[in-house]
Amino acid sequence: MILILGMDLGVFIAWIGTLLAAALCVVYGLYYSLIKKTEEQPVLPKKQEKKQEEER
Amino acid sequence: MDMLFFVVLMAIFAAVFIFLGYLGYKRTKTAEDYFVAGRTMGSLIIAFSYGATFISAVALIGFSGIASIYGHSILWLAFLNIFVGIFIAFLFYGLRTRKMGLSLKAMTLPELLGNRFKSVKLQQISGLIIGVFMVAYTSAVFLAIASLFQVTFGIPYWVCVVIFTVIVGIYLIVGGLYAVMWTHAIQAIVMLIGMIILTIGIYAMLGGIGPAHEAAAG
Repeated sequence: MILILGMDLGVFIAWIGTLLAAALCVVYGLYYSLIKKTEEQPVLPKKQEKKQEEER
Repeated sequence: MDMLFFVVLMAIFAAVFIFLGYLGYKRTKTAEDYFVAGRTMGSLIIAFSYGATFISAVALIGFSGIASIYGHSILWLAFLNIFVGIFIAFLFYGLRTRKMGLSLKAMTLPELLGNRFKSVKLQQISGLIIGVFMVAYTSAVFLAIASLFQVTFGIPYWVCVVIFTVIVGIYLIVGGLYAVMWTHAIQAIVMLIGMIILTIGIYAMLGGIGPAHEAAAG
């Protein structure tokens, strides 16, 4: 059986996948909190939206 | 010496966490503060807190135990835990759940489901499911940490369980989610440092990544 860094192919894919997934989480977290601007306004239920429009 | 180390460690652990519980208590003014930390926690605290909660003693100690029995294939569980349980969960559900929670004025998952589908029964059933399974999960966490201290320091199992339950119970009940998230963030930093030291140390001790994995597989 061919071993990559002491692991068979299936385990190696899981190992590298775990490292990449962890890196992806960190990169996305940094992108989200530092670069991406998001609207933090709550989504109002339709009835509440109608009420607000009527009040206006 | 081991016992002295354990006592000092536990005293510091208890003092810091109970102090954070007190700070959480002082900051908590409303039910929203208590249950969702006023929805004002910063992204770093959320990240570390979620990390400590999700990659808990079950993953750190339990996965190692399973790997020693069944081998390295447990890495697939680690991969899916991180990719699905963290990345996908936050990417697709994070902001949506936050927005829905705000608009439905829900502070817990059962409340969110109950308010969304206008069903008290659904709220009760989901609360019951979480209650039942959370007891089992919490027991596993306490079992893991108490076993670790029993093996490492020779402290009786029941003493560890009582100490941890009392300390965690105090800061959790008194401080609400503020205390929970602050203490979890500290635990996550300790866990992260420990994992980095362990990983580098073990690879170095066994002669590198390849030889270490071969030795573990053997």
